[in-house]
Amino acid sequence: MSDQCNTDGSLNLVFKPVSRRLALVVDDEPINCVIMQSILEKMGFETAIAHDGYEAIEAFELLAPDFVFMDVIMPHMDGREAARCIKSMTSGRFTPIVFLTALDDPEEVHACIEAGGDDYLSKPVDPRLLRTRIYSLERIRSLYQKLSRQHDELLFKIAEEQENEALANRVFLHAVSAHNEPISGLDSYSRPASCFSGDLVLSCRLGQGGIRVMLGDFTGHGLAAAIGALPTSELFHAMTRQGRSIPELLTELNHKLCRILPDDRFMAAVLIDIDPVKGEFCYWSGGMPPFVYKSKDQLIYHSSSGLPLGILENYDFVSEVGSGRLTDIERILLMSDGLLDVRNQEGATFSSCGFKDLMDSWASNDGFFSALDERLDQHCQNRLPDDDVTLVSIDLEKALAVLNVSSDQSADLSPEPEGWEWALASGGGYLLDHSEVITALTDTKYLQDWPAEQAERLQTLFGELYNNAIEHGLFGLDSSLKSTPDGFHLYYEKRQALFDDPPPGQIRIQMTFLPRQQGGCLRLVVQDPGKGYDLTRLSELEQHDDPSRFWGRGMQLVRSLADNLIIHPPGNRVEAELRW
Amino acid sequence: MSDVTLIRIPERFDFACHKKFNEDTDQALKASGASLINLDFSQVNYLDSAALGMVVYLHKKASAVNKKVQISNAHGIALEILEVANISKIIPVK
Repeated sequence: MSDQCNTDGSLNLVFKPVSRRLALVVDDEPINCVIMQSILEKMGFETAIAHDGYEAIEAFELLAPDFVFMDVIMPHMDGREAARCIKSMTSGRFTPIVFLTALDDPEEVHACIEAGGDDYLSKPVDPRLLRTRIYSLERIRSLYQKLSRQHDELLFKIAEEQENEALANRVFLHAVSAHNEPISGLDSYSRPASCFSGDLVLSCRLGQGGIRVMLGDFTGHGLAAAIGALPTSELFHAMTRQGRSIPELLTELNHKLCRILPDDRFMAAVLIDIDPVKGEFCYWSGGMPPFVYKSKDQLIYHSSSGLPLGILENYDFVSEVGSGRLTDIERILLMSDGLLDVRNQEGATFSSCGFKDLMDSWASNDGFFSALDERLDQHCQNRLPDDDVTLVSIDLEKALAVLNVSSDQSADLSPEPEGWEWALASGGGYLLDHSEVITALTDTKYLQDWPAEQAERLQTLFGELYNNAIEHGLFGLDSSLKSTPDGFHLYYEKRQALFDDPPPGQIRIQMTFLPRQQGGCLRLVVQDPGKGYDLTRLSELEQHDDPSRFWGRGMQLVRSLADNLIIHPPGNRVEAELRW
Repeated sequence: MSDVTLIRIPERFDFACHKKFNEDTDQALKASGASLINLDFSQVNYLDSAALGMVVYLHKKASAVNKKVQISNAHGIALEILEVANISKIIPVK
């Protein structure tokens, strides 16, 4: 800024020649151009001349001046039209256009400003007035530049934030969940909040057929919540494999988190060891809702007694570890506080409406997670929870049955292949594309013993069903748009745009695998929040098979790949089976 | 074989390849001399219905400029899907 106010408040209009760049003077009268040029050059401008509107636009494009002084009436193209054109070319920067009018006619001034002029001066131009106008317009321009810079910074920050959240999500999907071993009888449910909120489930086998499960809940969200997740997961798996006890693991975890997390961050957690040889379970819980187990038709709640990890450096965990007999215990349920705190539209928490019923359903039936899903849907009414909702249910009969088999057999006999169940909800803030889902599934190692062709068949089948759910169920796109070549492009452009900024709603994926003699049976369920297929139109399409059509092949593929296919009315829940 | 344009299709052939596939094939369609566009499927191990749409669309554009399209080296699940969709009725699959 070269121009400042003097201490007495008068404007300092002594312009330093170096501070200005180029002014474009547009006038069809050569003498007017010469006069303007001489005034402007004294003020430190370089100048360029144009003699009509066309020349002005050309010169503007070529030279990018920082001021334009424009006559109104000129041959070929007048000043107003040129101003309109120039203003349409200068998005993102502010180049003032000052009209020079012969008449001080209010109508004409109005028309000039309307055409995009930023100010006007009457001819003959008074040099003092011209300076004042330039000064005031430069002040506006510097404000505009500041605003525009701040706008860019803001956009950058938003992009950065989004990238951080995607990164946090990725850390979880790949680095944390991937290390969990599949354990039959251990099912987890998670409904992520609008942005990643720090719940993590870790599981690992202990020696002699036991299992260890931990559910942790970091304070904060996004990348901040994910910071502690990596070392926690690494320590958990490494120390569990070394056969270290719960207090030893907790002491290490606490120590590590105290060092790496800022003072206001910590991790609440519940940790359980199940030891079938001793017939015992050991647990520790700090800052979590009670965990629950079912014994002889009774639900027993164990409240949390410890301090969350990462707060007090020298903390004694030994005295806080509890234990109990496994006899008569059927199931154990761990949960994060996200579930209890989910609020409905009226602001009532889930713990105050519906939690008790839900626990009764957990005690009595196996379809617990789908019942939970429905109840949460009812409760939330399409709103995303503020915190991650995570539950882990351990079916001891299943978990220990398998464990007994492997511990009873001699070492050279490989254990019976186990069944598994895998579920995922995609959407809300985190819409995954189908290859990310497949990566997450393959990371579980569930598919590692599958024949390659069956894994490929599953990928293709899943890809079709999942993309259908995204495109039609979630985005509401109509496939018939693809019936022309242009429409085909348009369809995928729209898809991309919607994918980048998805509407609310989630797609639920569930896979259940049961091994059979030398083969297996996989049931895949994909459910979307949409209105469903037009089933009659679908069957018409399938009857009129036309190989030169661009679209409408998905369901045909699905039918040929799946050994069994059920489309549940109204068509937003599709169930497919693969058998071999 | 100067009159054949070879286009190598990536491992995962789905809507995400849409842009690249269009760029490659548009170039092939414009190339004078080459009358056959050969889609090399040797690397493909994933193929979805959108990709089938893109192939059919290419066939249509090629016919308009008197060029032919063929698919070569398809195998495994990709071949199975091409067969299910009866693509061979309009484009030779070798």
